[in-house]
Amino acid sequence: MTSVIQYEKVRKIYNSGHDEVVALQEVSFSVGEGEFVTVVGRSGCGKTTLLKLTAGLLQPSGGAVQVAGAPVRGPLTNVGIVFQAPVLLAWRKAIDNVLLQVEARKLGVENYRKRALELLDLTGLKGFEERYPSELSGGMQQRVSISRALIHDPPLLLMDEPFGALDAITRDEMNIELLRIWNEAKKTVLFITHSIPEAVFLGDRVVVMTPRPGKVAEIVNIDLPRPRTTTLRDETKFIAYVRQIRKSLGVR
Amino acid sequence: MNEGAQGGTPFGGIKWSVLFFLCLLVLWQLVVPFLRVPSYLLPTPAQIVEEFGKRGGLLMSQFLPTFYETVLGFFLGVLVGVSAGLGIVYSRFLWLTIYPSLVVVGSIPRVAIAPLILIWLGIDSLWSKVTIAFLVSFFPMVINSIVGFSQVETEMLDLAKTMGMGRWMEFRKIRLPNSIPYLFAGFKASIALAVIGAVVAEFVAGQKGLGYLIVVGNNDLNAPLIFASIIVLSAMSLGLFGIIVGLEKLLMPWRRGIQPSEL
Repeated sequence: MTSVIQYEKVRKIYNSGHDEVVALQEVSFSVGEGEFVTVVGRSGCGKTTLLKLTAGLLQPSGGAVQVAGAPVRGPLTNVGIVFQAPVLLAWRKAIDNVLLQVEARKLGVENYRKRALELLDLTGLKGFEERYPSELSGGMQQRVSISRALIHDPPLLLMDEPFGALDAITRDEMNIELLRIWNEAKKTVLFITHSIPEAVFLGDRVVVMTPRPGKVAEIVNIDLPRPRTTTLRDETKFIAYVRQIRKSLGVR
Repeated sequence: MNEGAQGGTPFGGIKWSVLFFLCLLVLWQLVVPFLRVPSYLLPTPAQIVEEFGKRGGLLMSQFLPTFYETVLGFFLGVLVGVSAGLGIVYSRFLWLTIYPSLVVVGSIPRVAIAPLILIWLGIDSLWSKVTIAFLVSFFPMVINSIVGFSQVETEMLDLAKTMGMGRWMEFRKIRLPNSIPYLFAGFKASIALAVIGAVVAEFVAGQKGLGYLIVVGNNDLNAPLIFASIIVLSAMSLGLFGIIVGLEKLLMPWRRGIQPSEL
């Protein structure tokens, strides 16, 4: 398997006045093509920093981040990003928020309108295409955001706690839907979360990170069959993975 | 939503406030003669209406200069305010140089420099009064422009970068539309201030306009004329404000959306 993302002894230090905060220290791992890798850890373990370094929105203080074989020097454009907040433009209807991605890339809005409608359908927003974000629930807004991250068909999807603000029930549903989309579109996914069950449920591998300074404590291969359904969460093997990760995070 | 508590339709509220206002007018009309208040202190509504009949032409002819001064001062304020806001948001140099001086200018009680402006630009000139209206009204436009152009979620700007947006497109697609609600808040504050600026300029200049008419009414102990002028001024202010609110609704259809809590 060729690796799409490669982290080599990545360090990130933030200078805030006279204080130095080591956000990431000696982070090394790689993500293979078509792989779904989840990163789990407490707040402040550098998860978001890792994502921003991957997208080229930040530069490492040491080490190297490589995406598709090339070192990341500036903002990557062949990625789709979903943040914890939906980050939609209030003055654009759902479909036009999705099409922003197309407009920005000057790909021709009319060529992509059909695809945008398909994606909104795929993410369960049929009938809501012409609604403004203020007319959509939090979960629906996040679906718009996911559609926007997919419309230009990027090979790599970066997701930063995308379902963190949703209620537990909606979150479980969105997990199933995301796996369905991933299965259909065959993308490489780097998914950041602070939920251990979510990390196990989604990932081929779970990167466990510990804070201060943020570093990789363990990488767990999740040997669970796909397609995964909600009942998986009750199985002993699933529970065992959750327990193992909880232990390596030092949760008492 | 509880329909009953809201009075059924939005007009239910307006109906009651109009009725209340009419009651106040009737009470005013009755109480003034009863207490024998002389009309040079407080005229009755009927006397004010009579004044409109007598001096309608004069009021109209003095309304126009005030209207021009207000509207031109306002537009000048918008132009300068938005340009300054843009400059300050996009240039660190301007942020460091112009912004602090603007704050200092903003804290001067600008009506106090009206006499100076009249000396500098000429008492007869329309532009001296426009300048005063502008000086009094432009400051909220600067602040609201800065906020509107810069208060964008960092993540949205990050996304824009990964979408390959250049600065100009980022401005057109994100910052400019983002600023519209802020700009309209600025327009509303500015228009009210521009009216004040124009009237103060006319007080000082004593040449023409509704502000001048108020000074004349004051010298002649003609309270009905003062009241009539104030009513015309308020109607003008309200009308201009109404135009801004109408434009705001037209330009921001997303603000009229149903809230999720109501679904």
